[in-house]
Parts: sequence; C-alpha cells; structure tokens
Amino acid sequence: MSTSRQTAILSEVAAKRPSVGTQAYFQSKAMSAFYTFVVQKFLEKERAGELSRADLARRARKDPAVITRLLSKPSNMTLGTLSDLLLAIDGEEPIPQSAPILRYKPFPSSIWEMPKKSPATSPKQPSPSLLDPPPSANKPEKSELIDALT
Amino acid sequence: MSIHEVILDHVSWGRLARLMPTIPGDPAVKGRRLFLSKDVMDLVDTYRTKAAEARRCEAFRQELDDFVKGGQVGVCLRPFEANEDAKLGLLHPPEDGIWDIRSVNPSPGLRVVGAFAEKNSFIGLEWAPRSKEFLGRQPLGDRNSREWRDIIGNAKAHWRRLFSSWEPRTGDKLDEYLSTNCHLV
Repeated sequence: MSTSRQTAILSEVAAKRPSVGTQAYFQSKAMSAFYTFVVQKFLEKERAGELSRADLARRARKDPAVITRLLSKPSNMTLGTLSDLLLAIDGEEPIPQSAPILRYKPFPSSIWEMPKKSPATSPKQPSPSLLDPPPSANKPEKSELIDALT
Repeated sequence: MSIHEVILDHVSWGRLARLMPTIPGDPAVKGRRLFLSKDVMDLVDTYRTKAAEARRCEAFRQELDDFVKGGQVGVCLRPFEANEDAKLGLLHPPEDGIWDIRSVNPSPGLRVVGAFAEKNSFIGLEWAPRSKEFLGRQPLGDRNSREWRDIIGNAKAHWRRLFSSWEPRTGDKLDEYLSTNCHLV
C-alpha cells in the first residue's frame, strides 16, 4: 500500500479538510455499507422463505427490475429508497447515526496475516486451501457489519 | 511448492501486492484476499490531485477495500447475462476462470480482470476503462470488441507468467469462489 496516499487521506480526515478524492472514497464507502446492510437483511428473509424479490417489489411499490438492480450492486440510492426497502423487508426504518472515522483501533495484525508455509500441492489439484481460514472464522459477525454503519 | 507459496513469492518480489483497507482498523471479515499486479495497484493506490481522476480512482479503491473487508458482493456466473448489474462477473468462456471486478460509478466504469487463485483469494491482473478513455487507456467497448479479447488474453498471459502450470480456480457454484457475504445476481 502506498503510505503517501493513505497518510494523505488520513491527514485530510483528521484536519476535516477532505479533497475531492477523499470525499469520493467515503461516498463510495457509505454506498457499500448501506448496500451490504440492506441486501443482507433481504437475503436473511429470502433464505428463510419469508420474502422473494417479487414480494419486495410489490411491497416497496417498485418495478422488479429496479429491485434487481438495487440488490445487485452498491448504488447511490436515495434516502427515500432506503426507507422504502427497510420498511418493506422487515418493517424497519433507517436511523441517523455517524461516528468518527479515526476512532477505530487497528485490528490485530493476525487478521491480515498469511500462513508462512503450506504443504506442497501439485498443480491443478490443490489441497484444501491454507489461505482459507477455518469455517468458523469465515462467518461474519453481524456486529462487525453493523459497525460499518455506525 | 503450492500456489499459496507462489503468491507469497510474488508479493515478496513486488510482482503482486496485497490490497489492505485504507482506513486502519475498519471492521473486517477475515478470509478474503485481493492481490493486485503493479499496474492495477498503481491505479488504486496513487494519491491523485486532478479532481476527475481522484474521484474515479478513490471510488474504485473503496470498492476493492470493501471486497477485502467482506462487503456483500453480487456475483454473476453467466457470462454476458448480468452485464453491469454484478460486482463480480465470470467472463466468457467460463471454463477459463477469468473474471472481472466491475466499478460503474462515477463514469467511466472501470474493470479489473483477473482470476481466483484459491477460494476467497482473487488476483487482479489487468485494468481498463469500460466506456471511454481514462488515464490514457482505450475503453473496452462492447462485449465483442477487440479490446475485450485483448484484455482477457493479456490476463491469461499474465496469469501464466505468474503461475505457470497452475490454472485459475474454476467451478459452477458460488461457494467454490467465496465463502460468505455473496449472492448470485
């Protein structure tokens, strides 16, 4: 990672004088966070057999193609659309909240570490991946995802 | 030597770089890894002062940061069908295991073409703008263009240079590529 880019962005955040690029980074971050939040709420209901995309389109009074697009990738959805989706998915409403960007303590470096050694594997027949953490470690903590929004 | 060790070797020699989130301590889900060629890393890890370039590149960088942090990813396993409505799309022919990561907003859209080395580990090899020239690069244009064929061919050649006899990961199920926080679109 380029230290100069990261340092520049963090300095701008600390000084509360973001450049256009830093603004774009955090605009995109907000879109990704709300997208993950809404889609995971929908998928939870869909996997439980309680809600389909067609149901959601009807409840939210939107074209099914619009619902498909909203669930496909992060977008600059309006607050009105966010409200419509949360209301239709589970009778919820968005609550305004914000948090200092520089409040987070760094995660333990182990979360990013890669194993130093792995058993030899032959090409095209890889053994179970050592890059993959144990299944339990892969499960996202809901609180972590919610943290992204708070 | 495993492909894992080959990746480590490329990282140590600077042929690949591992993308780490910009904001220290951002909440993250353990498991996903994104390794980028120098060319792609230069695109998303350079501090830019021209507004349009900074806006475009920082938005894309955030999307890649979101990927490694475990953000929800819409995935398309059917080449040509979902077009831009997926964040991650398998390219034609699917048996080659070449994918693109798609960033649509702001214009121009950008694409990083690469392949999965292992489950949850994506190698981003080449990049190009989708619809109009950006940073001196010609756009890919429509899906049958020469530019598309070239970037896919370049990604395959780049992969072979890095990993020789190891093939990109292939499979027809989503959970063969990503463990969590993903869905088919």
